[in-house]
Amino acid sequence: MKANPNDFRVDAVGKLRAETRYIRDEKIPGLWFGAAIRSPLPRARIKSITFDKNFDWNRVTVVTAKEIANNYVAMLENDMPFLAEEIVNYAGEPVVLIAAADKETLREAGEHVKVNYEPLPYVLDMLQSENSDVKIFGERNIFKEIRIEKGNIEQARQNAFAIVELESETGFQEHLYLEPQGVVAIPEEDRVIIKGSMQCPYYIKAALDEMFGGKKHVTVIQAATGGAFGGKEDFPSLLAGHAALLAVKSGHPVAMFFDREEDVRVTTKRHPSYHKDIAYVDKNGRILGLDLTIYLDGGAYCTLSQVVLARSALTATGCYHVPHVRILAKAVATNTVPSGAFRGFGGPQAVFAIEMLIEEIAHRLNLRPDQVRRLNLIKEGQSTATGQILRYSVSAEETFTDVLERSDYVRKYNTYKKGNAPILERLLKGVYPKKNADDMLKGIGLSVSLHGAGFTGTGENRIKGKIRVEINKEGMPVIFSSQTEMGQGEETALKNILAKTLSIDRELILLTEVNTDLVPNSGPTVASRTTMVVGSLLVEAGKEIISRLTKKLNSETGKSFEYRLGYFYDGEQIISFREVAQKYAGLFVEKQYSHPPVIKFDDIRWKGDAYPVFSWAAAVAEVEVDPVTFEISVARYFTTHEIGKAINYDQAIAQIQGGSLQGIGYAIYEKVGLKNGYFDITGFTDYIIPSSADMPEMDVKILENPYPFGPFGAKGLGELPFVGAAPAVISALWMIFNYPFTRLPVMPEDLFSVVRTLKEKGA
Amino acid sequence: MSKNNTVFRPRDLKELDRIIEQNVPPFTFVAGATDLMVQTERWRAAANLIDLTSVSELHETLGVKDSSVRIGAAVPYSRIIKNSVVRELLPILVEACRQIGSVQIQNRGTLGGNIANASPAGDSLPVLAVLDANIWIGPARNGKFTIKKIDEIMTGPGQTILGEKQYIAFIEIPFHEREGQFWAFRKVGQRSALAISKLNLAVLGWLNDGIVKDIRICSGSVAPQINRHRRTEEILRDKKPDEKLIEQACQMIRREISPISDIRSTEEYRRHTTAEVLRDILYQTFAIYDL
Ligand SMILES: Cc1cc2nc3c(=O)[nH]c(=O)nc-3n(C[C@H](O)[C@H](O)[C@H](O)COP(=O)(O)OP(=O)(O)OC[C@H]3O[C@@H](n4cnc5c(N)ncnc54)[C@H](O)[C@@H]3O)c2cc1C
Repeated sequence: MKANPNDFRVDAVGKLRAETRYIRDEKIPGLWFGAAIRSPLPRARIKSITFDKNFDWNRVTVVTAKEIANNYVAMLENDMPFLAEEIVNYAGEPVVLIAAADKETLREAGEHVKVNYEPLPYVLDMLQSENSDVKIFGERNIFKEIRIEKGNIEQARQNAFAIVELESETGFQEHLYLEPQGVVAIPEEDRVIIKGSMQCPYYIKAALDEMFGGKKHVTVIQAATGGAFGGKEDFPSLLAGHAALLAVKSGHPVAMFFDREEDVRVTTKRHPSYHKDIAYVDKNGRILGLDLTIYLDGGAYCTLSQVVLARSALTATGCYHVPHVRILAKAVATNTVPSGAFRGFGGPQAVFAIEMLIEEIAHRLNLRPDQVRRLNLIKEGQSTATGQILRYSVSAEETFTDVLERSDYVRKYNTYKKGNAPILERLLKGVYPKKNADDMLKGIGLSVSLHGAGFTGTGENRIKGKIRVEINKEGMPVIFSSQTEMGQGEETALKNILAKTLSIDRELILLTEVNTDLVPNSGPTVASRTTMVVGSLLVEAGKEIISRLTKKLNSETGKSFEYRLGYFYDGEQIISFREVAQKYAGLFVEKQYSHPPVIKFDDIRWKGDAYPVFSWAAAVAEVEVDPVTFEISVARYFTTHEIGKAINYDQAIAQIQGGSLQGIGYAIYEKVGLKNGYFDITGFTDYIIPSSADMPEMDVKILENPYPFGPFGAKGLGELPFVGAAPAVISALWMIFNYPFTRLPVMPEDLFSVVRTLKEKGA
Repeated sequence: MSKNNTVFRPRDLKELDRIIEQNVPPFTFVAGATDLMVQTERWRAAANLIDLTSVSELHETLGVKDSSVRIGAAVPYSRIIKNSVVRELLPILVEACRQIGSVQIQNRGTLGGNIANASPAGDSLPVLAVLDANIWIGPARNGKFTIKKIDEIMTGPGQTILGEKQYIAFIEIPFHEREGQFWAFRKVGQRSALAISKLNLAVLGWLNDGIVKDIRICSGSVAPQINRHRRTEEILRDKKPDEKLIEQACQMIRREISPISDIRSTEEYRRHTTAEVLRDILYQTFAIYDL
């Protein structure tokens, strides 16, 4: 496999020439600006809302909860209101909406609204939520509870040589997409048009159809979207609701445009997690059983927490074969900003926990971490925690072996250990650690990870994604789908797949604007599903187009044409696809997805094929720690990904590099704290993501092991690179300090404390 | 920006002073705007903006004399970095400029802005302190500028002694004896570029026969102000540093700083690491390793 310069991103040209128009670039006549007045408290009763008489309220439009008939954002639980009416449940929750013709008036109006709150007790700690007197969701503050059992965990316990326990935690993470959230609502007589930065136009449509109770026709159009990472999956439904309410009431188009600070303060974050895990192992480190307890912090409202939890639970045993499993997973409510979708969607938390548990097993049994991993890797024919038998496209061992060899892991592990020993010894003795000016502590860590491609469980069968391909007057196939480009390469992938199926140039294929009036619902652009699921529909559609064109041609000419690599051929004549297609302009094919019947899942008992297939990755991170300042950097990063088939090689490499760096950010750069229930970050200045100067030397390899139902064998890729990065980096810190790092992120300040603890212990 | 603000673009100092004279403060002086642009609230409230990059003396001056260099307050860092005399004679200043933000920030940001912004984390400030820079404050009266040292200008986070009508005109840095000179500037941040310092440390000194003739030490981001650590310097001055003496110096600097815990770091880490970075610098300077 190699790079192909002709296979550049189809959206690149417009972006490089600055022709791509994001929502803030659109000139919308008469545009007003909207904003929300938000709760400053994590939980409170709204006692009154007063509008200062000294302000001329005719200049603006105001919306409060009372005016909204269906005041809930239709999602999984419908528990989140567009505006709080009686109780606010998180600091930052919207209470009043205002729109004005200009931002100055808007700000002025905002200063003249007074909301009177009675502070109420609140709960921020996910572990205290369940038994708290503060009731946010139901009686127990549990959005969802999942139990998965396989085999008999008691038996594993009885046969165990060692019982290894570990608690681990992960923190919030902010998406920090380049383009902050932005949506415009344009009111018409019976219709509202929503235009903006988004991943899932049909999610917004569903939420607004419900909000308007069918009284308005809702059209949702995706504008160019500058990054999302899951942050524009669920959140825009709330924002679009706000814009629509203000637009309908004011009669003006209304923009809800966040600046960076509002964006990082009130939009969803990755779910923090807490794991309490027990492994039963034999003396070689073989895992006999896993007993896992998982908590996810869902924040104040459910959003997608139930599905995030499902993915966490279904990923919790990692890339390992475990005969006896018991998993108890809970997503709980707290008085924080609702957590939401984020690349990996529960997977990164789960893989971090299991990988650290493996580190602990190695630590306890005095084995190298690669030895424990290798011994337990799952293989074709073996089954997962839900009893899903992996029948095809299983590459845990292949990716693992490849990355260990390429990175020279074992040799470096030993060399670095030896090199670190004297530095560490001095450090722990409390003397100056260096012998040479450039002495560094060098670590090498590894991880194996997987990502179930497509929706979890029966999700795909419920969504039943639908696409249409239509031949236009010029004989060009036009793709109608609701998949969105957000910088990940969706347009390129879909065009490539159809072009390859039809054996024609990619330039001959068109994509329709993502507009819910025009395109069918092919499902949201999430869950690493677009290439694999929607791509497979395109392959089917392409094949059908060929066969229908062939039939038409033959019945019209009475000859027997067959299709050969872009041409219809009958021995005498050879006609290009385009020529024939032009004759039958208007021909269209529709395809609807459901899993191949062989894939079955029971989401009540949590048994069966949780995902149609998994993608696999293994990574090795070489980490350096400055023994004086404890600054941490990743010097080199090796990863091997098995993704079925790379639809666009360069793009796949770029996804892997970017996702890995984002995962490195999750491990050692990105930290969000809470201060009085509020996130303590305001933007790029204080939320530190790795910059290009922090990019390690990256060595990426792609393996292909086709998925029989994917387009040309392709599986999902988008999320996987993120998943294994943090555990690989932290594994390197375990290796350096021989200390269990169990909480993400790890900062130099944490290393400083750890070294102090170790020093005290040694003394 | 609010609708009713005025932007002045004086061409030279004379025009600048006239504008200041004839208009009503407050003024917002704008150099590279790398601080101002991100302080949106202040930016919006600003009424009279005065662009200092149009003032030729402030934007252009990089005047090298025999014993000193005078740098216009609105000269961007990258020009300082590129100046061959400054590179040779003031490497510590160049090192600090190089560690500020990124190339883009260095192309816009200025020493004047760094000083007037008065952030305890300003990376040039400790370096200007150890270099004993003279800060020329305008407008000049009868051709004379008010001259102050860095630690006299900054009175607290975001606070300076500058009056409403005063601006920083030049930074004058004396060239120091190069014989026996040693120097270091270290910055500790959360990432390799574009990071606000958790702490930084500037050290400039002179050795004679292994004896410290003089030493100046200044930290940043670990106290509300920029102050030299004179008691720490005192321990080292006129001595031949060994492990014991350096340990004493490290103990002292821990006491001379007053870091806080904030979003960037913790009080304990800052205190500890400032001392250890000092130790690291001194060990490397005196080639003391645990032999
Ligand atoms: C991405 C980014 C990274 C950064 N990284 C660093 C870093 O690593 N280290 C660091 O120290 N700083 C950093 N900064 C902050 C900033 O770049 C520096 O403080 C810079 O020196 C400011 O200079 P300026 O010319 O841009 O100041 P401006 O923004 O123009 O002005 C800053 C303040 O000083 C006033 N002012 C400017 N010039 C004068 C003058 N001559 N007289 C009186 N008042 C004046 C202004 O009114 C304003 O209050 C960073 C900023 C950004 C945006």
